[in-house]
Amino acid sequence: MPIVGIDLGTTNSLVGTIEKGRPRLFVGENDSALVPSVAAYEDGSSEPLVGSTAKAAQKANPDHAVYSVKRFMGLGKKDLPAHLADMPLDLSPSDDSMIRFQVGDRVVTPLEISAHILKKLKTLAETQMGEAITGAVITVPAYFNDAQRQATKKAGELAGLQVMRILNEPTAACLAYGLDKKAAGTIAVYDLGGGTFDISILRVKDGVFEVLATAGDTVLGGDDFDHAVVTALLPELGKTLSTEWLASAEGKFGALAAAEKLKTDLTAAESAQYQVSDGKGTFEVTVSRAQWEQWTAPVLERTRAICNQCLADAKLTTKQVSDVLLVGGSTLSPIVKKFVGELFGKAPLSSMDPQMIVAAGACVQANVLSGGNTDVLLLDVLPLSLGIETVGGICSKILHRNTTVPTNASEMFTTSIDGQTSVRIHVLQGERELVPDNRSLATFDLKGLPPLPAGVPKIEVEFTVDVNGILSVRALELRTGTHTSVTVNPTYGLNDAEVERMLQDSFELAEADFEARFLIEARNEADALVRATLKSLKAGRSLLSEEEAADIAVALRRTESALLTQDRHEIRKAVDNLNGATQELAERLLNSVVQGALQGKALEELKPQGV
Amino acid sequence: MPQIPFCDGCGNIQDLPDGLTYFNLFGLTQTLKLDEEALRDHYYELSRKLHPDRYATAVHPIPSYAAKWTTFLNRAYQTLLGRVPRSRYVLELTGHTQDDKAPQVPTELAEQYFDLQELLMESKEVEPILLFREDLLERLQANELEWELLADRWTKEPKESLAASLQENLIKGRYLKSMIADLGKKIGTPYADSGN
Repeated sequence: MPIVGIDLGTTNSLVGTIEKGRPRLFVGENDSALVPSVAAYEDGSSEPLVGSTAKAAQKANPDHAVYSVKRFMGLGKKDLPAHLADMPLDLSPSDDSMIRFQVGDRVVTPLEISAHILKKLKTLAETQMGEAITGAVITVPAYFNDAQRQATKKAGELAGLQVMRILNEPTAACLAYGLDKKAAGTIAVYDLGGGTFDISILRVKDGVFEVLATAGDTVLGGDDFDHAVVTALLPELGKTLSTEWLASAEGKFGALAAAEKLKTDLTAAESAQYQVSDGKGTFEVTVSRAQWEQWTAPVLERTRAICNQCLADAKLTTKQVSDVLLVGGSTLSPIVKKFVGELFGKAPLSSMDPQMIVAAGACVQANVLSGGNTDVLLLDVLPLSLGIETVGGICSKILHRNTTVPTNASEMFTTSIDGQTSVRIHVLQGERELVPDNRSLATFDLKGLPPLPAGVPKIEVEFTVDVNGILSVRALELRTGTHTSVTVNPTYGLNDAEVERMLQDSFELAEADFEARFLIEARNEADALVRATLKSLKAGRSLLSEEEAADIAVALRRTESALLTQDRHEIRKAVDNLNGATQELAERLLNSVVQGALQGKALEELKPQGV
Repeated sequence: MPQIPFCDGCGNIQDLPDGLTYFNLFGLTQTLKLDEEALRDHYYELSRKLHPDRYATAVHPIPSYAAKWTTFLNRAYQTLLGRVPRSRYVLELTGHTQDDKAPQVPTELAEQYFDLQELLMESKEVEPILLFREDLLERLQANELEWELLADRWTKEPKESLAASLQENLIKGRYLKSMIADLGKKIGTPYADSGN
């Protein structure tokens, strides 16, 4: 059974196999291995044109073509990043939350278009190999979340391929490079594609490629250079060209295509022409590389913070990185090379074509999975943490990002209300402290718990992530054996690219998070203490003098009113005060044979176990 | 390696047995100090034999056995590789586990802890935070040194008397690191934890 390797890219896609131990990429109609990730529908035909013919058709009739669909894979309408909302594609109205495109007279989804591209690649490989292809390794950005990976897998299945592995792009690139150069050491892979950015750091030794850490942004890429250029030129464009035309699909496409050409021309030249015409007038300007670099610098700066995060996660400094590998078409720009060289303090490697290297790596992994190569082994990681919601809307992490897969982990939790018979388990993905800032993957109920006092049930929640990065969750009440399990299967509509952006923001927002978390914690503690105090008063009122009881009552009221505010300092003070006032009571309760001691209870009720 | 997961007859991978510890998976005696570079090499060697990628086209249940072994192996490696998780695991194995998920602030650090909260809330300047952080880093260094001494004694002395000190050392270290990390967030200096 031949297995092919596929790089399903934002701008271009590639397919190949291993021949005589070396990757061989198949050449398409345009005499290049780069098959444009474009589909175009001609009037009256049911199947779209895909690849270079579609790209040619797109020029003549932009309304009938779809491109860059990878940016929309696994996203719902509400997840649509603001800067993608003005893509020259019509977002057609529909009831569900899934993103669809109006193309000519039909409506299509990103998933379908991806499947058409994959089908095209499959046919290309079959024609040249002379046999049927059944299996494929398909690459995705390392930072793709669960829903984006599953959408990609689904597209493969729709194209009639058995998806043997969803492989991370930077890992694939490192594999191809390492195999070619017999590399060893610590390698950083800087992967800036058309629409996504990844940074991965690997340790390579004796054929084992161990990913130490990965980070990225699924909505940051070379397209953003073009958008930056158009944004900078827009005031000038409006003077020469019709604003109506500029706002149309054709106009947006024309302005961006000119920016793309400018970018390519500036790779070799110090200055180049930006030229765009609306049919009546023509706008033309000479742009120097320095000017271009100034316009696009903010895009590169965004990658810096992500690289620093990844290094910190890998517990490495730039000095300890032996090589830096450039991947993705956008790294062809001299400014990117210079930027990466400065960031890591060493000249980046670019001996292999950054546009081919990911596909080559996919071929290598396909060969490993079919048993053709037993020298090489990849050890990859979970890109984003997984956890569940706990008291007060806090996300409690169960599996941390950068854990090698396959893996599993479990945590013990308990109830927070007396007699509670069911628990809602809310599965989350992301790095932030608070629930709404993370991506919601699934929600399920563990029912049939015995009615016990709060804090008594022992609920074990187990997360298992397989080698494909697919999560399944199991919950078990240990006293009764009540259990329930789900394989997390996010609907594509609920996905959020927000998660990635948010993780990236988490540095800047750490402080705000911090405040919010402290407030929630203070409230939880105060709330638990109030309830515990009321309980103890009920049990131990006779142990107190009038004066003592009055003191507690005052402290109690102060805490209750503090709870009505957002002032965590005041809450803290009130809690300390109430703790002081009830200390004596707690001791007496402990001494007297009364059970359900104040302090123990208070801790139990404070938050679920294991938090 | 004491437990060979392969069938003598057919050479296929077997199911994961119960009761295997992370140490005996790697053929190691229970220890606080170990050669991390050698552990890594050994991990790679075992991964080569056990990883599901080696069994991608094998028949059921072979791939699921490989997945179970590798899941266990990954956890074992990640636990033993870091000084701190390894120490916790050793305490757990020797029956000295206690719920340290939400431990009390160590008395020795209580004052710093409250000063820190104050500082994080009130201070608008970087200087006092940097000084405070410097002090904590020094304390952390001392804490790590103390761990070294405890780890050396661990092999020679009765564990009963050492377990409590080790536990305390770990909790103190954890508080110090989280305090340093909190300060780092405030001034934008992420703290990379090398011991975990």
